[in-house]
Amino acid sequence: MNVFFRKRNPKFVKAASLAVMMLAGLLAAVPTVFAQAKPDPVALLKELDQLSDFSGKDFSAVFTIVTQKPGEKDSVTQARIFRRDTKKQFLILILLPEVNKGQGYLREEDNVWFYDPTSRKFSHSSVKENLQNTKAKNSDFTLSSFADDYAVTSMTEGTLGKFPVWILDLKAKTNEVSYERVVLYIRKDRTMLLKREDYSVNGRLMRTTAYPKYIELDGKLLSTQILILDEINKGEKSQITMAEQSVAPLPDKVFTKAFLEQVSR
Amino acid sequence: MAVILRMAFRNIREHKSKSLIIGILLALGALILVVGTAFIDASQAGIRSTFSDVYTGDIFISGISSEGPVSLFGVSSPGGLAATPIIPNYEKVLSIVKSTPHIAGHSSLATGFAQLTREDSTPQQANALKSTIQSQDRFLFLFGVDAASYWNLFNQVEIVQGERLQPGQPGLMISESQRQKFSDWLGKPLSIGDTLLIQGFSSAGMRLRELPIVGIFQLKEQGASPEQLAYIDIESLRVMSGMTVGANEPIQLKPEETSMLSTDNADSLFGEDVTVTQGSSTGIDVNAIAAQIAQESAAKPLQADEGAWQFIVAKADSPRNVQRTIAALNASFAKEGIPVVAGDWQKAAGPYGQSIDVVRIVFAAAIIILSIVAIIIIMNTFVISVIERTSEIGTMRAIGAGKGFVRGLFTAEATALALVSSVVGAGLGIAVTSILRALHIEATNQFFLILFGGKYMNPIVSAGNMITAIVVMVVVGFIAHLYPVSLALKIQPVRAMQEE
Repeated sequence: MNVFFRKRNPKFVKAASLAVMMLAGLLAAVPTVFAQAKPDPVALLKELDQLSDFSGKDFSAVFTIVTQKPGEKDSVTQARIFRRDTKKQFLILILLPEVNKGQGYLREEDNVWFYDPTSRKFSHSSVKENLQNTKAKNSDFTLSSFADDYAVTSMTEGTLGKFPVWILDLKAKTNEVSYERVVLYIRKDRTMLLKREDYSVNGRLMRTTAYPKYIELDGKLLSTQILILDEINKGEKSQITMAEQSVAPLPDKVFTKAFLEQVSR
Repeated sequence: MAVILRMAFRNIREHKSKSLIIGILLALGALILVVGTAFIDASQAGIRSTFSDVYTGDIFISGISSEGPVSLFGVSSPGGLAATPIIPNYEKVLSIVKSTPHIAGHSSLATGFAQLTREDSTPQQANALKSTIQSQDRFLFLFGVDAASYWNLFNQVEIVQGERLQPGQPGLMISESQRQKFSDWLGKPLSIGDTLLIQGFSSAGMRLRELPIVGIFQLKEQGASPEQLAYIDIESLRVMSGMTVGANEPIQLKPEETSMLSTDNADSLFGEDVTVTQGSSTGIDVNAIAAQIAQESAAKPLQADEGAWQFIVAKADSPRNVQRTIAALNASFAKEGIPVVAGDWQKAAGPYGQSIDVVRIVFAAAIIILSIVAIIIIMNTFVISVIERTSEIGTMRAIGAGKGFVRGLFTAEATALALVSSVVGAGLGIAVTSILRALHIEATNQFFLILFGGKYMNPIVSAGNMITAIVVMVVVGFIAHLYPVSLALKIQPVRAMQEE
């Protein structure tokens, strides 16, 4: 009997992965470092890792995710996200679709609360508990580190469109990561991630992600538009757009249940 | 003819040991057939009535989804995310159901999935977490029912405590086993009137609702119903499953939010310069953001879509009329051009019904293989027995018996032996099934539940199955003797007489 529920469970994962996609969007931010003649590949990876490191800073932005599937109506989710990495806190407020407006997710350490304004109720779960019966992996909920999780197998030169790039071929060091092999296309003249390819264990290309637009904010580079192409189900793609980004300090009350309740009042 | 028969019976007596071996084999064959078909029949009838009496009805009407087949469990699509279609033109569909003959009763419903959850984790509950309650034990397969008609149609739902859901009453009905598991997980004993916080999942997202426990039920037949089955008022279900008025409103997006979706080649995005805009980080007023969202969401309250149903389940006045009624309904729907389809209980049970088919097919295949093996063994024994009588055949032919006479003699022998043995075998089969029934063997797992067609092993031999078993074994006996006899008849009488 449980087979139905296992099958159905992706709905839960879908909601959880929404948060993940938003967090993942931040991975593209790159510090402004001028490319060297032949940089050390590991150092390059560490630079990329620093992008997602918002230590000591708060971050907030509005994300819009539009997903297209052939023969289906586009699915749209818009949310405002607030992050404070030093305390492992985040708050996601759903803005679209209209029926889910005001719903929110609050994370503090290993606790996650989902809030539904129509019943004014919270639902608590712990990150560990959630992972027990879903397809989600630990890596989906923690900030990934290329340098820690992957080893560089090769570094070659190439071009992407009109840009000369370093092509880094990475192999997973642990089985905690979602993809066994990742290929990164890093712009040479100014270190920034332009494209990422994810491969499965048997070498099949699963997903291609492009980062063609950036914003420079407080000395950091953030990707503002991301295109994700599903290489298995051709034609399925998502665009993530980031707007209203800010690294200004947020009041502490943002990361509280009371704030979620205030929003729907 | 009389001579042949007399000789045949004399031969059977003369070759006692060989006759006994073949007879036992034929009897065994008949026994296997009788017992086997008794099981298959019991399984089929038991499963059908268990499903149709408990939750599928005889006739199941649903909308059509391009993603996959629709059942009470939703759409069986590869990703499992497809929305269950709502019955289009419901009033018209309902009037067709009402005007179709042989329908004894009907009710409408919608289903959905949810999980029991809680507002916060207390230390007491954290301890309960370490107990055996898995997160799948907290899943609920919700039946949003039309309380006015549902309970008349499905009277197998027995109330242990509390009452059935009444029309218009918000609440939940959970099973006795759910009550125990949920009490364990929440760290407090649950009873009628206590509220449960449940989180619904659908393609439209998640929704939380707190609902009182109205009743605790138990199903009279526990054979094939989902353990996670719980009943809920239709209004709450509609909200939780995204069957709401505003669910399909178009969303206005800015051009830059969809600008890249026309691209299939990621590399083409890097033809021009990668834009890096300069941003300035100004402080954000979180209160203003909160106030803005609050104001907008207050303008559009969530309203359940009145009259939205996913399914109509109906019972026929007699099992004989089910298929006829389904055909009549489908013809009417096609004539009116409404994209809905009627099916039987197995369509309603969806993946559940299919797993039953698999078990039954495997069981039937096992019986067929067993029968083939039995036939081969019988044939082999016949070959040996006839070959041993080659000299006898030669002698008969030498003193003037024609090939036809010899063949007739052996046919009579084989048929008579097969008839007697299979009758004995079938009789033993009845005895075996009676003993199995009397033992009252209980099904310990899902596999046996399906095989037994209910909670207890209950094979019943029908007259038809008994006659079939006897006829099959007589035919087997007849076919099995043809080859060795034709072999023996090919040998010249003179040589045949010399054979030892």
